[in-house]
Amino acid sequence: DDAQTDLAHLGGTAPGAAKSGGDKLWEDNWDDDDIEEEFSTQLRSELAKTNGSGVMEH
Amino acid sequence: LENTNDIPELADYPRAHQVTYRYYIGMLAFLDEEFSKAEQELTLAFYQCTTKAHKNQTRILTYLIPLRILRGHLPSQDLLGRFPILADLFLPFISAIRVGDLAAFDSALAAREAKLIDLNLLLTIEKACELCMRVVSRRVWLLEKKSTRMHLRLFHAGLLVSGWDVDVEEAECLVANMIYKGFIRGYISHEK
Repeated sequence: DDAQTDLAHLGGTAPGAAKSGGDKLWEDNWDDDDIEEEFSTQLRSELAKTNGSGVMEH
Repeated sequence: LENTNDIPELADYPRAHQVTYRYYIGMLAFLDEEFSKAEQELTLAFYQCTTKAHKNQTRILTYLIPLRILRGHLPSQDLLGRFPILADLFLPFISAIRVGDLAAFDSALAAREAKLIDLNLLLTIEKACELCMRVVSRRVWLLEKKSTRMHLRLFHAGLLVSGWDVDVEEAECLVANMIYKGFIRGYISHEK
């Protein structure tokens, strides 16, 4: 009965548990470095619109 | 409860009772806004809960998922696939966070407001918006080739593109808040 928990799956001991071990239930590294073209284009056009205003540096 | 020492150790009780106990302790902590304690108890409750008790696992995850999202851990397809009701509730937020789409985040929030209020989750999910904002800033930063000096105008434009019609001052305030909360490392400097 204890085998039928996600904890048991975590250890990879239960039948049908994830073979690779560890946990497939959460994602920590979902930041990706690809940005689709659209965002880039929109950002440029937005910047062109507001160009000249704002004096703050970060 | 934790200060009483005349009752047996929690581990001496049947596992099902431990799960129930941790669920309620976690929920109390959640309602007291002790988020890290809530996350800890609910995590233990979830992992010890038998997978046959699907309803109970759903109950636990209803709070555990938002708590983990706040800390930047998103539930995977595997997990949401097992709990379609929760996927229905949280997936729009998760997708919006992944791509930094503030407009989509807002509309998901508007569509689920009543439900989230019922669940006492509205404020928690609203907080997750910061994560979405962080992704917007990150994308702007990536487009600037990870520059160490960036014009606030860039962040402002990013927010506008992502669907937030804010003015420059408000954008500066949001950036300042993100720096304070540790989502962005840096400082704002005003130059002549």
